[in-house]
Amino acid sequence: MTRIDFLHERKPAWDRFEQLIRRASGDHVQGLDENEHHELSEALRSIGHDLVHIRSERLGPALEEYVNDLVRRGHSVFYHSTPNRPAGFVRPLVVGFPRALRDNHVYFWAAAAVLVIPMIVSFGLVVSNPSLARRVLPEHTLIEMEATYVARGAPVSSETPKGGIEMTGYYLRNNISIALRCYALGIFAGVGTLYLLLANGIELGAVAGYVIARGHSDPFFAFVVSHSVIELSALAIAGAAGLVLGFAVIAPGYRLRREALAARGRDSFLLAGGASVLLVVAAVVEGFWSTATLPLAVKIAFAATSALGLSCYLLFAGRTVQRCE
Amino acid sequence: MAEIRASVPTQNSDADFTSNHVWVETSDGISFKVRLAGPAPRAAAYGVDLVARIAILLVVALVGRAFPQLAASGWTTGMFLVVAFLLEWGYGAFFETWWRGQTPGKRVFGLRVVTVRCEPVGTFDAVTRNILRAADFTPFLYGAGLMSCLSTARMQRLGDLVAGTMVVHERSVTSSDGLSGLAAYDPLPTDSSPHGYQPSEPTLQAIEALFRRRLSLSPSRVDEIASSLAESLAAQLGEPETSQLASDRPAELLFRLLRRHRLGPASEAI
Repeated sequence: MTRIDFLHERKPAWDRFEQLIRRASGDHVQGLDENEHHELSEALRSIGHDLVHIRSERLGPALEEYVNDLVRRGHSVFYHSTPNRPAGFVRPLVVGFPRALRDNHVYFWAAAAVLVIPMIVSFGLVVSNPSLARRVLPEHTLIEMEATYVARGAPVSSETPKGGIEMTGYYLRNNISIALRCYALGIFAGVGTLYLLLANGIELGAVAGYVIARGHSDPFFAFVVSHSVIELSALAIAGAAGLVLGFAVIAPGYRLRREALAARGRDSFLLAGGASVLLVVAAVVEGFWSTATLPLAVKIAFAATSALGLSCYLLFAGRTVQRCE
Repeated sequence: MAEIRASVPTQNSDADFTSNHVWVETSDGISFKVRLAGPAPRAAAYGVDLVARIAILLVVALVGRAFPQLAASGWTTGMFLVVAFLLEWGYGAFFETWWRGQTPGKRVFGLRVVTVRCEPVGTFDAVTRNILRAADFTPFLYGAGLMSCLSTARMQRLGDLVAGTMVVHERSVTSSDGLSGLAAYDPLPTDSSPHGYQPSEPTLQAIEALFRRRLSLSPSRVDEIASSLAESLAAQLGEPETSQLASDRPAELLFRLLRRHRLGPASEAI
């Protein structure tokens, strides 16, 4: 068959195919009815064979490119794997995230240790010798912190905002940015994650130690106790996500490194995503509840409830749901 | 003469580092070619998106200032911070989910994010690759992303590696014979080759390559490139009319020859 005969024979099929994928790509394959879907499937196969024919008979690069493009477009319409459902985040949150955390609990405990142990050490050192806090944070920041905790049981200054929505916005941005960075930088063999966990642990411990050493433990606890459980857990979970990525790079096993990264991508993402959702909750609590003037006992009760609820969620959610892999 | 490309790709063909395309295999075992987008067009698309993000933030700030009572209660600052946060981490993820792999900037430059198997990206892929931007950005201005892009066969930045995605050029070849504009030429009459001369496939491919590049060159340059081939072809065809054409308008002779062999005589043209 000459090129011209071939063009004559196949052109109607190509035109029809273009028509189908143009209609389908607007609304995925669901835009087509049963017959059209069948037609698209057959056409994709036969046009794939056209491409092979064009190559083996050397019918010219321009034609090859045109049919190659048809196959590419058809392929991405036809193999559209999962339609994006707006409610698709519910299942990952109630099943995927707690399950990913339980599957990777070693990473969580490692991250929690790197966050909490330096925090306790730095807290203890600063309580016994408050001047050490200046090695961690500049003096004016410390003075500001102290003044604001005393004044309102909450940080207020020209830089840090007042309360309510403003404060929520500030903590949302600040904390989730830290958590997501903690996750992302894990790809450098976990070094970025470890650094951020360590730095945040030392800083938090130093601030707490300094404020308490100066004798303001009551307003400090009143502010911090409600949200700290959720917030610190979330930070450790984000750290775990980063360590999962880091370990995939360090020890990819029988896979190539890029394959290991892609394989661990889903779990690590679920962890980081779950941590972000927890931080949204923590920021709302921090902005609206922690700043409220309530008896310390009420706040402690709230903190205990949130700790219990969080533990139950992370330990038990999604256990009864069948694994689909 | 044009270089002859391997007409059928090898079976398990992966990307190689010297070209800017990858082969993707369908479930029928047929491979098709995808053009990868390198750092330069991606940076340009990023620039467009950056401008769009700044514009949105400015609008939010101005709207907030228009309501003093809101500003006093802290809503303006709060909303500004929330929007800034959402734009920083969610802009790319939102659009790449919604527009199946495109942000406004990528749309302007004809780029699209697809999975490494050339399927449309899902929510998970889009969000992951955009969170990992923070790693690509280090140590400054996407240094790590650039290194990763230049050292992986699919030009993937770190976020693409984790999400299993790549960024491709999406260009549609519209003419169904693959040679738009060729039909405008008169095909060279078939009886003009008394010795039964048939141009070889590499020759036709060379002419095709010149034809498709003709609009980006000046007409006189196209003729200049065409002249040496046109002369030797005219000698092969052996007609006074064609040798006249070869010396006057060599490109036209080549394109009319191409027309005859690619699309057939005028009556049969599609």
